[in-house]
Amino acid sequence: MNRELLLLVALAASLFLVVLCGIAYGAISYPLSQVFKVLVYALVGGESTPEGLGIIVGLRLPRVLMGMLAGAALAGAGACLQGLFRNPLADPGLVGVSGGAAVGAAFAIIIGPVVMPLIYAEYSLYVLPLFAFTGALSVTMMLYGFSRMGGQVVVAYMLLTGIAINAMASVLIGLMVYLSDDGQLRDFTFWSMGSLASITWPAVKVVSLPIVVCLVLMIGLIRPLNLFQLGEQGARHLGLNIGLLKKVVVVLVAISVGACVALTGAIGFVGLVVPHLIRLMVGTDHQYVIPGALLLGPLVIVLADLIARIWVAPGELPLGLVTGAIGAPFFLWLLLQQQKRASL
Amino acid sequence: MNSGYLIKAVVVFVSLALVDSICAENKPVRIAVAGGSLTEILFFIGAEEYIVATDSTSNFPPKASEFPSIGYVRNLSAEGLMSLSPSLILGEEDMGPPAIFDQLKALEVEVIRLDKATSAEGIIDKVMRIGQIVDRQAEAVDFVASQLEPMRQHLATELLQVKRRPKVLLLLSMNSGAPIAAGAKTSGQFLLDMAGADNVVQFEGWKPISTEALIALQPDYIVLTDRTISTAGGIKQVKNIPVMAYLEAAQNDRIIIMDGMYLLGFGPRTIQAALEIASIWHPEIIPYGALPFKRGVKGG
Repeated sequence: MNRELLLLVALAASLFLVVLCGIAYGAISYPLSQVFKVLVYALVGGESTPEGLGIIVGLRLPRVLMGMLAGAALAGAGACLQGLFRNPLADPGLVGVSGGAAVGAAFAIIIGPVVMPLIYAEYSLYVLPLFAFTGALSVTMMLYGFSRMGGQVVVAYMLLTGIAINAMASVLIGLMVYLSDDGQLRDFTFWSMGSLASITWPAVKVVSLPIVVCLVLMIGLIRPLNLFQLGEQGARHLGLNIGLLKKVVVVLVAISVGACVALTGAIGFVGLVVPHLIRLMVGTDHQYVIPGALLLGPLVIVLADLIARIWVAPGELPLGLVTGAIGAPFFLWLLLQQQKRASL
Repeated sequence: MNSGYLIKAVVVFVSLALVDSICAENKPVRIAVAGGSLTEILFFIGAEEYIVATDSTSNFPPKASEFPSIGYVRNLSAEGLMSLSPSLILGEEDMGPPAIFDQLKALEVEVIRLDKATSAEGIIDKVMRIGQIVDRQAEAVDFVASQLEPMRQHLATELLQVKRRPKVLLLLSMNSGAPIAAGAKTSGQFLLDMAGADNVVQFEGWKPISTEALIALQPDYIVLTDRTISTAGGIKQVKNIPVMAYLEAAQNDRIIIMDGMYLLGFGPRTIQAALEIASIWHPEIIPYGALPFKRGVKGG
């Protein structure tokens, strides 16, 4: 077995371990045997309801599952985009997903209650995710539409369009923030730092299918993305349908990241840095980069969420703070290591 | 209506107590409190022994922050709350995130959300309601009757005599960019209403205000919280902010500095804060006598 494959196996094993910890630990501590009993009960049933069922299966399990989905979606999307742009600075924010979702969320938090109070009275819990997802999707599609105006999508042009569209999104957000009251502003601030605290089973059930489908399709992009690294000309000569690849990547990113951001809020760092970390470990071959990102992303998020839940218990930290706090220094350290190696 | 308020409150509480028997006798009450004013009230009516946790806005009395912290009221964690095995989670309408109510309902914990108080009457209602929730009605009535209601009545009657209401500017922050002023529908506005003053600011909410507009408005008084002063570095630094040179209120030392939670927390102490601040800009108000709580004015 080669080194890269070994690394992937190690990642998978660590992910498994972290997921178990995510289920077993939290603000309330149960003995591991109790956690096991609860999980067995949840899977096969039993006579009496074990203690902790509501907490472990009702609260923790959906967050851990959503954490895995979100981590895979963000990191996978980041890996695909960095491949498509052949630019290490690409992340899901670049194609407008995050900005669009934030516009949708700000609208749902600040303007929505004023213009459609009746809908809020009935469905307040669903409005925000729905708007955030719609925002993510429509802004991404708009961006793609603009970059296509010359006939074909030029990647560099798309990048610049992304900057313009994101700037417009932040103007809209700023405008709504200006109109907001104290409470709404706080809500939006917390939304933009991400959290898995509000994840419930129905939410996980709704988004898991589209996200999993996107993730599977991302694995199918391994060969096309590898070809694409030869440059557009070269890839076309080798029979790659470049237009289709661009479209597929953008759609997959919009749906998978849009769906999870809608529920978790903006979680920084993962989409940009996890694919990098993987590339620093396994090289540039997408055969390893994409599966690696799909494993490391969930690992980072589930671990960060565990820390967010435990560190200041009974309070809770915003998830985006923790992902940044553990990720950024680690990333810096890896870069320094690489520099050192290069200068030797 | 003013003098009858207490009687009305007593009638309400008796009828509530008859209809609604909250059984605090059988199980120990363990309350996780999400709201500084609620914590304050629990302490004032001697029910602090029921508290198992408080939120980050619960900083009065100082002992209130010794409990485990459940964090910020809008960002609570269901499992974190449950780890304290509370029998009741007591909060105000700003509790969140929204999903937490479904989560707590599934775990069968009682959650009580009170409306935010916006007036002295509202504060007194809140005290009575909490007295009823924790089965300390007698203490709540006593606290209201001996301390809050006399202050409320004094202030209400005295304000009837007032001829001219001052124009006041209440600022929250002067740290970066334009100062943040209290507009309509904010706790700042409600306090000014209680203290017989008009807000110079017309817009809604806490918003940055242009310094030029401030100069045009020329408030009679400027109210700042002690936090604003300490983050700015002191009252001297605040007075050195360029716009202050053009504000008569600042030049004539009509800047009032008060403890933020005392002034705007809308716990019991806010009634006293209104009385205290009103007597600054309405010198014709007959002094109330001994104020029950530690005073909040920091000089200025």
